Amino acid sequence: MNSFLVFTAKELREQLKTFKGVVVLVVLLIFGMTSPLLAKLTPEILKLAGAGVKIQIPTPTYIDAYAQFFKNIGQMVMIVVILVFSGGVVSETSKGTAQMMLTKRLSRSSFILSKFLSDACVWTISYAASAGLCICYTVYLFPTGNPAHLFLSLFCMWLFGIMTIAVSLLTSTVFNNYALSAVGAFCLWGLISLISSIPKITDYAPSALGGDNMGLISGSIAPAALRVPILTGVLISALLLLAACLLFRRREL
Amino acid sequence: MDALRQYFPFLIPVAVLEVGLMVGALVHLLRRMKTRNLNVGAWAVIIVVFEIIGPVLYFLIGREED
Repeated sequence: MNSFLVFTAKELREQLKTFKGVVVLVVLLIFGMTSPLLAKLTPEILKLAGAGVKIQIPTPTYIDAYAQFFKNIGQMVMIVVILVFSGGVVSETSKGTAQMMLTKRLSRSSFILSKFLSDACVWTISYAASAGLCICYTVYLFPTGNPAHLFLSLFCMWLFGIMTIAVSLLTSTVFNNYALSAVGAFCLWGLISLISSIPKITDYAPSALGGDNMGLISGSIAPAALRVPILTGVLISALLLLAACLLFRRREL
Repeated sequence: MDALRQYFPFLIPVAVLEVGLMVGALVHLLRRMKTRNLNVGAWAVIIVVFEIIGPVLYFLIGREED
């Protein structure tokens, strides 16, 4: 247990040293601020662009701000997360530093789990900061309106990110090349979304975590509907991690 | 236009982060003058031209390990 924590701390330092943590934090902060701003300013920008032409645009509300935020996080940020974290194990196995770590009384499963824990820490801190900024900006720019189930909605997107990290970690242990690992992670991630869109599965699939956020905020989706997707999201993340641990144990380094 | 000017203070932190990321990547590049995948000049252009994406790509696949 002790070596697990020591290694996790070392991993976190490494995340800063290799700029991975910084990249994730900065990208998330930028999206946290620009989403409400863009929602507020889009009508003004359109007016400037089409000077003289009358364009009818509904006045933006807090709904648009959160819609922008969740759209950006669900697409752009997830791509960045996959790109950043699918190199985690690959870089260590290809350079041979993993071997060094594993001889120091660190089991292979702890190696994978501590990688996951440090990635999850970076994601959680960056996401919390980004969501906090987004809420502050939105409350200031759109003082009226009260979003329903905002925190549940934010939590679902956080869990979606955790699942994405688990996907990247799995492909990162399977392949021994960064490009393959990243492409593999995109494929696996796409596959989960694809399977999620099969009609009979949709209600239970974890993709709802990254897709139903606006329904929760506008109140058109009841929180109870998210119960099963949250469970399957946790379950799939755990299974992906288990698969990563098992595969890494059998892998020749 | 007035509305845009009114929200200008909100844009400052965004600009600071974006420019900071770019300058950070450029400084990192110029201090080492070593890259992977593409040469130094190409990475410098990518970092400056593509906002956010350029520096992120540089840190992920262009940065030479110390």
